[in-house]
Amino acid sequence: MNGKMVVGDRRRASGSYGGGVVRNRLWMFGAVLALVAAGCGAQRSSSSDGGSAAGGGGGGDCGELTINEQSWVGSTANVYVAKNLLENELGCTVSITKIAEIPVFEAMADGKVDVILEDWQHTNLYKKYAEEQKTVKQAGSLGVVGHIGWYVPKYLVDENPELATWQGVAENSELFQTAESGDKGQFLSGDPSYVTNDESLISTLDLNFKVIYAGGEASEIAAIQQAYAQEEPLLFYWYEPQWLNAALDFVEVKLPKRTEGCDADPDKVSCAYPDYDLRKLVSTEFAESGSPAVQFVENFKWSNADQELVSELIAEEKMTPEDAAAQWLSDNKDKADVWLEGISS
Amino acid sequence: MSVVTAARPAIRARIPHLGRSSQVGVVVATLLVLFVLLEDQFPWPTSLIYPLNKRFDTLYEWIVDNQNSHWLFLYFFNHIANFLDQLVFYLNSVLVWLSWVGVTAAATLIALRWSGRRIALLVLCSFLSFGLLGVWEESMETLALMFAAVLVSLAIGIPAGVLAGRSDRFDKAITPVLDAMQIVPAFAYLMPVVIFFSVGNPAAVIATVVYAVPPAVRITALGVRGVAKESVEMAESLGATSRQVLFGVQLPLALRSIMLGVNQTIMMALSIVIIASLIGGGGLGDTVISSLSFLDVGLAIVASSAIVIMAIALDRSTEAAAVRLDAGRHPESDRSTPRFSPRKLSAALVASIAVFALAARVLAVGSLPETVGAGDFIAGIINDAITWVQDPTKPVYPVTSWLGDHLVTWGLEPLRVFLTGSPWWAVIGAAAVVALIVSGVRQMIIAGVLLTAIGVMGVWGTAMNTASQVLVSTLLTLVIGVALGIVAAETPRFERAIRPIQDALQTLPQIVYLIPIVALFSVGRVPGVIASVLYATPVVIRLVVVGIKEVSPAAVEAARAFGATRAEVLLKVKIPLARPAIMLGINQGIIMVLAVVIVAGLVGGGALGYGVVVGLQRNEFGDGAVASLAILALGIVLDRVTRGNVQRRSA
Repeated sequence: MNGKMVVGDRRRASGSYGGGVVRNRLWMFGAVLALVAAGCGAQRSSSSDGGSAAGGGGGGDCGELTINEQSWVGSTANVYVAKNLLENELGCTVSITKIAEIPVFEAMADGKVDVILEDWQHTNLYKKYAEEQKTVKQAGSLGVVGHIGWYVPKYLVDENPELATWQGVAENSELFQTAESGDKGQFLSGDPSYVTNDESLISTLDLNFKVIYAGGEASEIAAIQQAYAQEEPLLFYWYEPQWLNAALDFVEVKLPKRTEGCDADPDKVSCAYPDYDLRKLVSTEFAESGSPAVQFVENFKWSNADQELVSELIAEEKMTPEDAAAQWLSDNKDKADVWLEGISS
Repeated sequence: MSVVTAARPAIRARIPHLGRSSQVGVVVATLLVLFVLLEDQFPWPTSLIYPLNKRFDTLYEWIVDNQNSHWLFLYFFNHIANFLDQLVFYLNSVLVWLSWVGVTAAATLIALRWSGRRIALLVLCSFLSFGLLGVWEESMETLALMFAAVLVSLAIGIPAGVLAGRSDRFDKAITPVLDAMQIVPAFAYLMPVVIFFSVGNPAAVIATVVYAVPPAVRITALGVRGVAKESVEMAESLGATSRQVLFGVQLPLALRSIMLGVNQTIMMALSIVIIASLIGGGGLGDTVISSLSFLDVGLAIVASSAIVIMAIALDRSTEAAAVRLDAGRHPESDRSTPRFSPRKLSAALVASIAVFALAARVLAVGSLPETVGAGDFIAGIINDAITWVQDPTKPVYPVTSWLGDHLVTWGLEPLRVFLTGSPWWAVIGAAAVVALIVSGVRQMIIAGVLLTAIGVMGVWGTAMNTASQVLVSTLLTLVIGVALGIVAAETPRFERAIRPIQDALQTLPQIVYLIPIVALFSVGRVPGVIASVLYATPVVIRLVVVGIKEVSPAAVEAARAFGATRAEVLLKVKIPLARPAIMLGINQGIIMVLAVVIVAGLVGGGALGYGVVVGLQRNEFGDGAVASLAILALGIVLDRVTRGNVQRRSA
């Protein structure tokens, strides 16, 4: 009983001490609030300053726009070349977001993102957002043609030319065995967000292969580079345009020719991948804003080779995207002029 | 402790002749026999599958279609989103206004005021390093986002924790919700979060909050519960109202736990930075993701190390503040009475921060010089090192690829074949019986029901594949974690040396170091296993160290008095007495391993983790949701099967 009293007393004493701390903290909170208020006051005035400066100095009414950069280097190349011209020639203020491929549609619908420069035809999303909701609009072709296929390293084909066709690969499945694929050959597939028919193709063509998903582009590239370093066999899913294609020699494996309806049933695909005309998309809000940037985005169109050049400067030469874009633009003024033609700045 | 031992005879009485581990052995042996006899004859029957993924898809469609018209969106979610947007914006503005000088000064002085001199020095160095690494702006964006997320988490977590601490019923109701929030991978709810709150800061804050709230609730509840009954009764007998008891007794006394909750909340928030960047969170996450897409692992590691440094600085300062709070509560232990009143100190603090910020403006040193960045230099060194390690002609690769291949051939693959090939009813039965032996009837029912649910959702095979990977990872984690934990508990110098490594492993985004691991072990299940082990081992080490250190000195002294050697004391006294803590370590290890299942899916692990990733990235919401629920179910099953020893006292 006595002991309890002592404990209780001390606790009560400390309780009142604690009260002091709490009061003190409230006071601190007030001070922080004051700082916050000062901070946002400052921010408000500075942002309005910035706005008027952009309006007065540069290109009339371009204003601000947001472009989404996607997780592959080709997309970075698109975005920074466009950004360079939009800012330097049209006086726009460009911000860049890096939102994943699917959520970005919702972002456009909400007006958080204005432009995507390279979309690999997400047709079901076009239906939802462009046709039903009408919050997103097509802005034409990027000019770059996306191509997906099965690839093997060139050193393999040099040794064994029949590996350049699917029949040859089928007969040599044991060449591609790994610990993961067991007694089947390993087929290395790529990023889950990319279009893939590989499992379906393997079962329709009755190949003795097992699909191992690299799960991401970075890890697939790591695996490919490792195979090259050791000159080991590897059969993998790959695509163009991609900067790695310039750095390493790949040979595409010939898959069965495309025929009408050969990939209509996703479970029974029996032919090569189609080529993709990569699309530009804008938010409806942006399209109707009257900004000269809209016209520019519609004009922006270049080739696989152009894009790969810039990508390589970024990924291989380790230039910053800004510098890579500037360098390409200084070498290709004529192309840039076509995009800017007829836009009053 | 005493309760745990008291519970054991009850089980012995049920099955008299066998110890528990032998009983588990019998169950496994039976399953093995059934596997050999009936391999692949009983896959999950298609007639027992309910297409839950289709239901999720329908729901998702409805949400997408109604988001611009339904009142719930117009008057509720949109306002929350706007509020969060403003909050992050203002926090960021404050940081920008203060400039790097002001922010660094503020952080250092705050640490000096509440955490002590040594921590202040650490904080100073950390903030300077952000500038030095050339990622100052990104770090501040991340800091603002994290602050907002932590504020919201605490605003929700502390009241909920207090409620859970005071009401058993509320505590019981909320526990499964918290479990779900921690185990369901963030990938699964990114799309719904985007639909509800749009992309950008609000979505990133919400995704972070979902993950960071549970520790705040749990630790606050623990703290409130931990307040001695006598104190509460005393206050009540003196006529205090319920509110007075809460604010006058329970909260002040639980303050230290609440501070620790803040600490854990911050760590959780930082661990999700990368994922938040997928939905427009910006900051350091963006830098990491884009440098990975250029395969610039060095730069990705530099950007991530800023996350790690931030985590360590915040962890140490909140921890030290909590400890000081505790010391301050016992006046007799204070070394000296402070010279200034707390109020004056705080005033001086705010004044000097303002002076620093204004001085920086006046002297125009507010923006960091471009040339300061040592980041590129360090990134270059890291890249060279990685290139060397990955080079197949150098000594590392042959060893790793041999290890990796054998882990697949002799560990992962046989176990996967065993679990997927065994009759499904036998697997469920075996798991239920093990749960009964280890944890009791209730846990047996939970395990049985949830495993059945996994089958009904149509992902039995994939879930068993994941389970095999989780079991292998857990086993490796335990072997390494317990061994290192024992060494660390016995040699303080070793413990101090590995602590920063542990912090780094827990906060460094796995995706960053996975690329070199993929190059060394090749794409497949092994990199995922390694990532799980690296992530889960620190927790096991910590719990083992705590367990061994808390063994009562009296027991150790007694053993020594009888002439026991150091090894004998360790093996016969310390480790047996630390068993509950070690069991908790096993349990937590499994949960941590499951948290990395998604990451395993990103480097070729396949199974459920890949399913979740595909759900987000291919807009197949239903499939992703089902895979996440299966991960949750698997997590709860494994948790319940192993937790028995630790939680028995609540029964």
